[in-house]
Amino acid sequence: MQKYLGIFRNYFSSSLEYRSNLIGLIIKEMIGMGVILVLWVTIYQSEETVGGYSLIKTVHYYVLVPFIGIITQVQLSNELGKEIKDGLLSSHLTKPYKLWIGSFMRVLAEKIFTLSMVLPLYILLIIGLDRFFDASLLSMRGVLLGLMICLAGFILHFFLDLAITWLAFWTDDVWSFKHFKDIIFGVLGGVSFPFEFLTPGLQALFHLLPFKFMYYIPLSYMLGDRGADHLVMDLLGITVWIGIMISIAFALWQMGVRKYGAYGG
Amino acid sequence: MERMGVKRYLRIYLYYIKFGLIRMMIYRTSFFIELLVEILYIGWLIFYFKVVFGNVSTVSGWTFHEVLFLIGLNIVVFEFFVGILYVWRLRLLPERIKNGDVDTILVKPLNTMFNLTLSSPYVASIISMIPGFYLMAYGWSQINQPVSFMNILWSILVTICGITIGYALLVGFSSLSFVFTNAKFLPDLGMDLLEYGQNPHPVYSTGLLRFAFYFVFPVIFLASIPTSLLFKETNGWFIVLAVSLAVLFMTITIELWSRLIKRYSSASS
Repeated sequence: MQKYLGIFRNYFSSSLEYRSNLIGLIIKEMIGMGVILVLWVTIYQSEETVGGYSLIKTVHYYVLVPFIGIITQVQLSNELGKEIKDGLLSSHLTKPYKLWIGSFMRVLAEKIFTLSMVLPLYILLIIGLDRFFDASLLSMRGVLLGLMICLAGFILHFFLDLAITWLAFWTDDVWSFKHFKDIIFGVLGGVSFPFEFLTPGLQALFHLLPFKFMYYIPLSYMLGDRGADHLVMDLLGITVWIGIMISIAFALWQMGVRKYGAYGG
Repeated sequence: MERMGVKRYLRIYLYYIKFGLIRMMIYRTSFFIELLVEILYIGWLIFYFKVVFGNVSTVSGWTFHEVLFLIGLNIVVFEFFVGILYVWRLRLLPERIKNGDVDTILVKPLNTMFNLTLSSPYVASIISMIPGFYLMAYGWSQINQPVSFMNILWSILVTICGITIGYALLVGFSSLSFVFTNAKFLPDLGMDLLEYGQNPHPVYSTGLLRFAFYFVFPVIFLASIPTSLLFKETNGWFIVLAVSLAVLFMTITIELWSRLIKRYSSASS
């Protein structure tokens, strides 16, 4: 356990070293939020509600999307995938720890650092929004339930990203997979719009897939659309999907590491 | 001498495209995956606005087909930036600076901005422009609006100005990597700002937003203003502004690049 805590400390320190990347992340998320919000605010100038969402609810939804993303997002495939492509995986294979646990610690360290910096900003932002609209949509119960789903969503996303990472054993570059994931979450995860904006048929289809647990389901809890009575089924659903992702990830690892070869000096 | 210089750079750029094609053929699996991702991105953009228009009939007076044309043009321009500038060049610039890999590029007898920004075109993006052109054609066919030849010319001129402004913004942000080491987010920041170009510009027509997107980050000239010139109104002020901003932004970016690249010191042994 000590070695994994050591990995955690190393990556936490590394995150502190490159603080500007966090500032970049915050600005990037604000830009993304802004692109969508300006459009919807304009739309609400001529509409009272859209898909049953009022302006205040839509604004809260899109403001919370990046925060949820900070908890559930995993970007392991970019870095680790590159290490596989460049033959640097060898250095991990010779070390006395399981790579997937080390990677989990790496992701966790970076996430805790980011959250600790961003959380105060978000609390201020939500307070500001409540004062601006003179109304509060979030309850402590809803936020806590949403955070619980977020944590489960993070674990699910970790194993999904791990599976994507191991595809680097067969492809030239994994950059496109990150982009692919962003698109999938944009459409199927609830990043671009709440499921209520879709037709009933599409809503039913999207509910069958695991991506809703990354954004839409946690947001539904936070905004009060889902309550404790949905929690058990949602946690059961996430657990099943985590089991599936673990199986896929480890199968790909077993096949990939047998094929792996690091060439050159 | 200047014309021979331009010819030389054009010839070199054709070689870069050839190398890009060869690379694409060597790593065919990656190429097809990347092409799929580009097409999925386009599909997502169309789906997003389909959802928006499934709930409303117009957005700031723009109909669905006008927005479809805007999206098509935005896709063409965006894929141009992704393919020509971003994927194999600007995206990797912060890491190259950190690792000292820029040295071999700087010693070459070529303009550094040209070599560091344009020398590895990503051919899949060029192919991904095709759906954008299709959307433009489809959107145009559904809009019942006569379009004059002059409107088309003004629209093309403003699009070229918009691309110049977009290039200047992207390169400007990325060049800050010479100051902020390993700031990988800088090129992404530039690309993210370009995404504001996908909304109709009347959305940005109030207060601070107007100032930001008409003058500071004028991405409305990438696709929205050219679309507006074709189907909505011929506003001469936009044309003058587009040309002026293109010249201004390129001048600032060239100056910024020249100053910042002098700060570069190699990290390699």
